[in-house]
Amino acid sequence: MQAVPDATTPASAGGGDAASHLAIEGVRLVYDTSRGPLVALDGLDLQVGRREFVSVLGPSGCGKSTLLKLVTGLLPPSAGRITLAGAAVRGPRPDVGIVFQQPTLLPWRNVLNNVLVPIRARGASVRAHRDKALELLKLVKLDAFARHYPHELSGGMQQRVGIARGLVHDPALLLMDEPFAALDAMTRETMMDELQQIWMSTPTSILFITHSIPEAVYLSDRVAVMGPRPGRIVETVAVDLPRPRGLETMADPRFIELTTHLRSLFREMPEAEA
Amino acid sequence: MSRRLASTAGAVGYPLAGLAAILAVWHLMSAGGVVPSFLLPTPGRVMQAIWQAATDGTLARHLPPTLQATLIGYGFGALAALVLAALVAEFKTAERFLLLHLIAIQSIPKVSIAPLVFLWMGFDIEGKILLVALICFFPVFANALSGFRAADPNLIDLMRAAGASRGHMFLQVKLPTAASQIFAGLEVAVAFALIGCVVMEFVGSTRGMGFVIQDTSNTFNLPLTFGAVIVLGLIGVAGNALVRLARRGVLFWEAGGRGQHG
Ligand SMILES: Nc1ncnc2c1ncn2[C@@H]1O[C@H](COP(=O)(O)OP(=O)(O)O)[C@@H](O)[C@H]1O
Ligand SMILES: [Mg+2]
Repeated sequence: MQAVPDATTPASAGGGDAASHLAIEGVRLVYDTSRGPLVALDGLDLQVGRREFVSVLGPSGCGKSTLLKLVTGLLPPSAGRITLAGAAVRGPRPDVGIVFQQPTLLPWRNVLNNVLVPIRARGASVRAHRDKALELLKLVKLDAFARHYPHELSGGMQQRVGIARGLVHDPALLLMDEPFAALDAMTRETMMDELQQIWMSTPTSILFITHSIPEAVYLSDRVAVMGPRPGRIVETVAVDLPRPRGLETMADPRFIELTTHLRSLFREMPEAEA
Repeated sequence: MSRRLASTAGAVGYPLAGLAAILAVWHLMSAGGVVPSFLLPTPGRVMQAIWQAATDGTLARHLPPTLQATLIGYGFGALAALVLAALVAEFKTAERFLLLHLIAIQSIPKVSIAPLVFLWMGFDIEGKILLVALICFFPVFANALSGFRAADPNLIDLMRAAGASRGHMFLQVKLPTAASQIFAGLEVAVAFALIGCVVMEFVGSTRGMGFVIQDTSNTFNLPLTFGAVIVLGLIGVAGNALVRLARRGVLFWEAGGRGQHG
């Protein structure tokens, strides 16, 4: 095997700013459970630059979802600091968008109104954001379905509504928690391509959680690998593959080299499930 | 199309055939002397009694009070249940103050306090309304509470992160999420409401279907006793159908498939 690819490189291949947009420093999170304290995260450091696409890769239960909850401000860290767009995260931050593994739509609202949920939630003008919502629906190729209800759409389409909803309020950061994990393999590949396009055509930074190594490498500027609980970043790998990436990317020797390296990291991990 | 017709015919046909069989057995038991006919009048005699009650003013006198008390009590009970369930679901303090007591009261058979209600409020409509409301309260309360608590935690997180107020979250997420279970509670409450009303009319009343049942059974006019029971049953079925109809109108998104949050 060749030398390890530029591991632990803080700089991004995709043009993230040197001054980080999201900075997570020395974060620790302890859950109070009936069986005593559970240290979910400990000494976690992670940076995301402006417009950067960063994936967090880790075995299940290592604290990935917990990390996202901290970034949204819904859960305060037990120790450490988080800053986003120059301000410390203390309490809910409306300038983040969230996309979950499940579409998590309102079944009683049509597609357009589902996209407008974050706008209504903070009492902003629906009228002023309608065009933005419709434009996003076009971006996720659902402009013909604005008046449809979620139960009339396929799983992949529902998930795309979720992505449009995550972007409707021009968030400084889009958080995605295994957004494609519940989709079938074919839909998943199309969605990867679409997400790349969406990201390239919006000014949003993305923090993307996954436990799929090819997905992480395909999409990201950098891949941060999380170790088993208590979660922390054990290595960061810069993905220096040219964009836009496509089918041929997956056959690129560099792609294979990077995925192989990441796989070997998980091999070495105790009780890893990724 | 023809298959659909056939399935509609089946949906109506099987219950009709079942009904015919029940009536036939009933008739044979009564007419054949298995049960003395003064204890079990034939279906024909019962139909006749219903017809007579409908034409001689008996139903006109006794049905409206029962319907009125049942409806008003149902409305109050359901409304109180929704409001209290919302308070308990939303406010920790309300939960601490109320929940244990409500659960304790829930385990009392509500009809057992009918004599007390009669003493407090007499045989006017108020007593019936009170017992009906009390008895309707719990199925709606329990269903609504569990519905409010069933809201998708991710959706709640999303709303909270976006800065939604508590009221907004309740109206936009929790209430619609609970709607399905609330309707289930409302359906159960229809039958409960009739029980409450009839029991109050047993305890003390000179009007109402419960009074008719008690009066006719005391005087061994059993065809009309059976008739009154059947009329009550039909009211229950109609009430249930109305609730289902309302449900289908309100929960339009359920038609296409559930598992949305699966
Ligand atoms: N609300 C909670 N209370 C207690 N423990 C929790 C809670 N949420 C998650 N955990 C625990 O914290 C650990 C990390 O969970 P999570 O962040 O969901 O992991 P991942 O998303 O990587 O699978 C797990 O062991 C999980 O059981
Ligand atoms: Mg998770």
